Amino acid sequence: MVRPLSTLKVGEKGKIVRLIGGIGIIKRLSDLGFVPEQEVEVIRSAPRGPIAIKVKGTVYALGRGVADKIYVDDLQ
Amino acid sequence: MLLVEGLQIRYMLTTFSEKTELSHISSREITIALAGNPNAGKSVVFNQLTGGNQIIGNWPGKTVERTEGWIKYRGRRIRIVDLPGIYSLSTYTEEELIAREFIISGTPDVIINVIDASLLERSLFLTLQLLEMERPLLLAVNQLDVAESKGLKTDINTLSKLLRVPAIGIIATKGIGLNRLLTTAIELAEKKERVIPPTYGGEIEQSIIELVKSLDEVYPEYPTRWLAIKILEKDEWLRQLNISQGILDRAEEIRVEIEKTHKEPIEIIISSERYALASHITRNSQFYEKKKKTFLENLDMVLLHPVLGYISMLLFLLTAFMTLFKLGEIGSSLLEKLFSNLDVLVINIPISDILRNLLFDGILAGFVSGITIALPYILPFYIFLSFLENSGYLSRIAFLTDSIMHKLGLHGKGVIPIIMGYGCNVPAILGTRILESRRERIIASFLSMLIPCSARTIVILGLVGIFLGIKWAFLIYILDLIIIYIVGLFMNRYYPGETPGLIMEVPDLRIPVLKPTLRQSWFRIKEFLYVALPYIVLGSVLLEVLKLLGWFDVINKILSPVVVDWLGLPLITGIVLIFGLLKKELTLILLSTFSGTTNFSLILNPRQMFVFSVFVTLYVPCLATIASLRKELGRFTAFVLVLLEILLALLIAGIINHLWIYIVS
Repeated sequence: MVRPLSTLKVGEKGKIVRLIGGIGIIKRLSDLGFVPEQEVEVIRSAPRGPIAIKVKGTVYALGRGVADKIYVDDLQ
Repeated sequence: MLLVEGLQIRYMLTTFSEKTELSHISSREITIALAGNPNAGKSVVFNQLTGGNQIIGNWPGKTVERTEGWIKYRGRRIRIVDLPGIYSLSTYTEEELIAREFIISGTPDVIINVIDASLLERSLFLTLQLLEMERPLLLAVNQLDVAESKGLKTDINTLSKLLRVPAIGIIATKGIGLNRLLTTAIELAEKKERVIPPTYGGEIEQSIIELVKSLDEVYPEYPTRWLAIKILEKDEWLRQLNISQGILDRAEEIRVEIEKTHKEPIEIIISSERYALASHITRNSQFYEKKKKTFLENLDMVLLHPVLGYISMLLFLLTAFMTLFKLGEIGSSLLEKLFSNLDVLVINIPISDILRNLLFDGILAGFVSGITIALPYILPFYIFLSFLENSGYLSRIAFLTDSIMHKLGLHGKGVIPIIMGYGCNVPAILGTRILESRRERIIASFLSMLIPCSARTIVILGLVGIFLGIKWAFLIYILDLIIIYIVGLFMNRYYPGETPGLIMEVPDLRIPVLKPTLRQSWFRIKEFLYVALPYIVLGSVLLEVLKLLGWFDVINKILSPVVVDWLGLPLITGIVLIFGLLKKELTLILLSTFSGTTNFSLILNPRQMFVFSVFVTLYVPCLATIASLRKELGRFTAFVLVLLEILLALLIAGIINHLWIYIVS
């Protein structure tokens, strides 16, 4: 099921399907490894706050609004 | 120590200007640029290579710090430029723009790309972009020990073969591999061979090849493949090149076609291509063996925990601040004793009393009070801050505070200048540079100016803490935080603009290495002394001049409607508050000078003590802070912010004064 990354719970994994939003933020996220087909894992999630996502071995803190711009699908 | 450092700096500066004259005669000099991701250990490599021989400044016209160092190696001079830490070269940020400009126009003889072996794939994303620029490149594969502890084994030979550049494994914190790194870099610089750029896959590669054909020979000073990629990416930097419309139109056609098949913007497709290659190289040169979680990884789960994380953060910061202030107290009283012997030097000089007053009470006293706040209070604070940064805990604090900071119009990173503010507002304001927009920098500057710095802490503890009890002093801190929160809410609401979302790396927790931490703190305290000390001395002299002119009573009288009627303070505090502008801890010293006693309960009642401390905490920051505010945000904004702060302080302190009877009873 395709849904925003921000809806994943701690410990859940997903595969990025697309990024939405302005080109600036898309470019910045894709530079950090948030590219389609990439597997991501939610490490920590503060209620209404930012979430910590592991991508390619690195943990990033993303504001909730930013995480809403990344759409993920379940892993096969 | 200060003197020796100063001399070294001067020596470095002369060699710097000599170099520009000699560069066309001598080809013996080599420029090495260090490039890499933030947290890859670039600064440690830089410090290990250059030792203390470095100049810290800003890149021309930019607020990004520039660090440059010199070493002599077998009789030749090697210049090492530490480029800002970046993830990419797509010119999304000022740092990326600077790094790219330097590589293209500054023409380093060789680039050392420092990468974190434990984050190989992400690091290679930048490496590939550096290779696209076709400058001689040497890969420094750092943090092999950290990678190993995570179960990652790196095959450096294969890595080197796949990237077609030399690679050397290093552990910078322990100094391992750095000699070989330097000698290899020098060899490469002499050979001046261009590297072979990476080739990508699919339509992207075909489009690059097609554009390269039409670009050939037109711009010999730039690597053609790199230009072709930039044209595909529609890079803004290209505007200065006046590329022919034919090529641009063809690139647009290609772009539309690719975007149609992939249903993604071209930027993402190119990033994906780079990552596909980085991932291929990583899979073939690094092997993973599952390991048990380390202690630090387990600790991290606690530190980022939605409940335990906040509790441990509060406990940690509270303990740290209390220890720092205790240390500061001990240190400053030691220093004061030491300096009190200095007056003998001045008293015996055969000059007029007026000059002696200026010299002793003005210049010397100003200098001494600057030092007695900088060394015992601010230096330990900087060491603590470096520890926070280098251990990775600071980004965890930013993560935890992101949602509360959002209410104030900032994101998590905004907490960093605010924490810095407790040491000194000057670095706090300089530290707002880490924030992306001007709106955020203005909000963060204003809020961090309301944070009681070391100097204001001296007043709060020395007056309210001693005479009313520590609970009351604590109350001022709480009150201050509440005021900051409310002011932040207001600014966020009424200052137009949006708060950008947080995108921040949370690096692995690590135990900081002592030497670079101390060195970083030392450079920061030097920056503080350069910025603030002249103002402190100047202010001290000014105070003496006004005293000699006998203007104190006049000033007190002018201020009496505000000071006496509105704030309910004794008349003499007027002049004291004016001079608090120079430096806040001076208010306490002046108060005792004018009243002739250090027992403040004789001149101030509890209400007045509390109101005085609150006012001192909130009103205009010191002169040095105003100077840095002006430097960062411009004269007009600085003026407005200062004015707002005075009004805010008057409002709050006045209200407390008038409501005191209700509060206490």
